[in-house]
Amino acid sequence: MKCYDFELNISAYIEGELKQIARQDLSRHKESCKNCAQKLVDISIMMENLPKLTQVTTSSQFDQKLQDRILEINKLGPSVWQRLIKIKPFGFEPVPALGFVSAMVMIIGASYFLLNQDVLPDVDLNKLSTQPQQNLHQDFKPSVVSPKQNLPSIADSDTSGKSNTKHLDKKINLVGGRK
Amino acid sequence: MPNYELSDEELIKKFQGGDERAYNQIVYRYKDRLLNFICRYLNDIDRSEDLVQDTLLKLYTHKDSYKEIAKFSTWLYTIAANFARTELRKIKRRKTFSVTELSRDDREFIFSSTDEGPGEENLAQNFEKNVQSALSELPDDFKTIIILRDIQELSYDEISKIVEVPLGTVKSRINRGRLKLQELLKTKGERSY
Repeated sequence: MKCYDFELNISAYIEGELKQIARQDLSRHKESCKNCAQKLVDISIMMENLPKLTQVTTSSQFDQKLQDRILEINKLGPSVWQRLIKIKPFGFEPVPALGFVSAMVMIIGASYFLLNQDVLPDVDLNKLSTQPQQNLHQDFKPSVVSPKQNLPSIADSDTSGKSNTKHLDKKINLVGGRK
Repeated sequence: MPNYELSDEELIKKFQGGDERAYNQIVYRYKDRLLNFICRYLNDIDRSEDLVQDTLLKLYTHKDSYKEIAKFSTWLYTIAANFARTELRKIKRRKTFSVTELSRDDREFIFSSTDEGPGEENLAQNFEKNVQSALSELPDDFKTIIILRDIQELSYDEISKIVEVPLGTVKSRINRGRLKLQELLKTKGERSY
């Protein structure tokens, strides 16, 4: 055991809080180290004497002063905060009740926010209800896209394969270059 | 006549129910204990007495804040410790200001020892003085715990609740605090008690 470890456990040793093995280790160190043995004695004596220090007592006017201050407080009455604390909504303690209310507000707020997260399209419901059904059919013109007109056919695409072969050539060269 | 049959917890319950005599009993029981604790902490009896009054007034005005989940003494000591800590911070701030404002001679006058030398008759008195001086040099965390444990003789469990640190931390702090206090006493020439 080192002196540092002895110092770490010195109070526990004096107060008898150490297990037997640790206690034996400390006792062995104490016998071999004069400094630590002296430290142990000094601290033991100090601990013995500290509770014996002179006890001070309150002055003779202490009680009177306190009573005067209490009278002053009683004259003023309870503060606004103290009055608020005394309110018991539906028989509940004020602090838990306040906590419950704020939790409920947060839950309702959060669920409202979550439920309204998706943006709905702007639809004028009045217009929809007044518009005649026929007009709706007339206005509706489905756009049919013929594949011949708009989509590029396979025949239009480059079938020469020149660019592709160039590309391939490059790749082959690269692979070949490593050889 | 003080009624020692009732426990602190029973007294505060009575006081919460409106019995002012129970409050007077509590004051009688705790005024000196609290004064000793704060006085060791601040080393100023007048200021300490004011803080004991503040503590007992807070007990009067906030009696309903006490719930029986904690020991009454622990609760009261926590209030006193908070007042003492706040006051010490104020004193330190004021001291820093005033010391920087003083001349060199004045500063030497404040910090120099006025001991007449350790004679046999003065031994106990010197020990008292040296302990007080060493305590004031201890870091606040160590000082509070040393006073509560070694002077006020409270249990580790109570101290842990008062200073709001885990039990293990209290034990290690008290050990380091004792070693430090012992070193300080040694430097002040305190060897034989």
